[in-house]
Amino acid sequence: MYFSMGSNLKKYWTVLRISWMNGFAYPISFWMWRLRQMISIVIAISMWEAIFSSTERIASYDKAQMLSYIFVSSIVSFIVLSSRTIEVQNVIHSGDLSLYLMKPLNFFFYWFTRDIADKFQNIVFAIGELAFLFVVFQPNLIIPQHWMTVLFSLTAVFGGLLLYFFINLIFSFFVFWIPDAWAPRFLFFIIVFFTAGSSFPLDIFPKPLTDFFMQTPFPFLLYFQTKLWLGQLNLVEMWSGFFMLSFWICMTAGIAYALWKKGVYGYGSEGR
Amino acid sequence: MRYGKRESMGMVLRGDNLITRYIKFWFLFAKYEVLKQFSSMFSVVFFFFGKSVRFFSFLLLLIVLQQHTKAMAGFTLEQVIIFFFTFNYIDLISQIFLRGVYMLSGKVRSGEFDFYLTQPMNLLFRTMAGNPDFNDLLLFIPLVLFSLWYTFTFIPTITLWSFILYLIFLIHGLLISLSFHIFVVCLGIVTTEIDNTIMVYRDISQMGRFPLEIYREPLRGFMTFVLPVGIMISVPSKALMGLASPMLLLFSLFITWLFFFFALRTWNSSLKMYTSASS
Repeated sequence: MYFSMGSNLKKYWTVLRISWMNGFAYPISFWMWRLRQMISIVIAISMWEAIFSSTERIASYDKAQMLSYIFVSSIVSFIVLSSRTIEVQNVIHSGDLSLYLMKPLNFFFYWFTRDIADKFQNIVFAIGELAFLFVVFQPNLIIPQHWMTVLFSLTAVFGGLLLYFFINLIFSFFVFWIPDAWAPRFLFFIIVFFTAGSSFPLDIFPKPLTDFFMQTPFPFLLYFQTKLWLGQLNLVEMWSGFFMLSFWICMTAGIAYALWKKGVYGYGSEGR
Repeated sequence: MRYGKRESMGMVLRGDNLITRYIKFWFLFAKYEVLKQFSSMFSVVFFFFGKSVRFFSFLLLLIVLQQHTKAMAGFTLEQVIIFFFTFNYIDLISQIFLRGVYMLSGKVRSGEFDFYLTQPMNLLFRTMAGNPDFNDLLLFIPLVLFSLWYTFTFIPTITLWSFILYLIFLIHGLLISLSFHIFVVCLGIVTTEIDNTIMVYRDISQMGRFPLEIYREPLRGFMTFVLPVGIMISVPSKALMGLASPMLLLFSLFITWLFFFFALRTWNSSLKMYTSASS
């Protein structure tokens, strides 16, 4: 049992190392990706700076709170929204899945490990970029005063990345039945951009709209984690948020697993 | 797929002048792409829905902001929406006509690009215009109708002259967008890496959804003189609202043509660096 666990860890450690190196295989693409991350933050901060030049408050936010929100949500999005699972649909569509099925690897763990490598890469490079943007824009960053807030926030971030992983797998597994799963994934990205709260907090919208968003899984990718870190949730909101996050993780994991079982059962490995 | 006699390349080439010939080429590409893209109505519906959601969600954000504040960097939010429409015009038209750029890296890596070199057609045209995207056309038509209604309803200062100026500078904005795409193609030919580069252009152009004035210096200067996305979107919008000085218009004409000239020179140089390594 000990040896089995040790060799398993070694296998996935190797996958992690290879995925990390793969990230640098195309250096220009890699740096352009980093540049894109910075541009999205610059746009969001510039927009809010311009808006607050003519008003004191937007909904319950003043300028410092809003810039703080944008910064923290950017950090969370670097961790949660980076993923390699987009490649799964190509693996299935091209017939390469049969190669994965023959390997002594758990398909879900394999891709989760690759995701983790991607997230590490994002975190390492984002530190420098965010430090640069912090010096330029000098937002008033809110640091939690209590270690429990940090712990809960990190737990919620981990939950968010699990949720994003399973949602991405669900979209990839559609390829078992439809030839092109890119179109529904495109719609998913658009919806996530608007309802996850990456460039603006969701509670600036009218309450019925915010309540509607909160019934979907998307605010539990970024918005919930950011509000938790900023200490803007009371105990009831925090626990109900954790309940919803757990519910959506279980739900998406269950759907992903069911689709995988059904999809692999009828998989013909066409294309190879 | 059956190609009729009239649609063969030979018929396209015979007796046509250069412009007519290339228009016919484009329609030929367009026909194949329409057949390909609309063969999966499932994808068409999702793309159309996704693009509509993207457009209306941003519009909703601006409308919500309007309830909290009346201005952004000295512009009313009605005026900011004009910038957003102009951004969408340039973005969608570029997507419709220049989609081939997105597929270039695969063609360079697989060696298919060599095949283009042997064809009796302008290589830049073949590379960029070879895969028009008609998913964007579905959104473009309602956008034109909606934006015309909105503009003439909420911006009452528009005159015939300012509208003509808008069209002239919108075309110049498209010329800047074309130049950006040429630069991306050049980079793709030299490095075989294009995917994130073209997305960087998309992200930078998104900065033009807002008036240039919201950005701090030196970023604003960078977006005017180095990567003229500010000129691409801000100048037509300001011309429409009567906010552009003659000096700004002349300056933007100069920058646009200079940028375009520089893009073409870069294209010629990068083509000489193509090594056909994949073939």
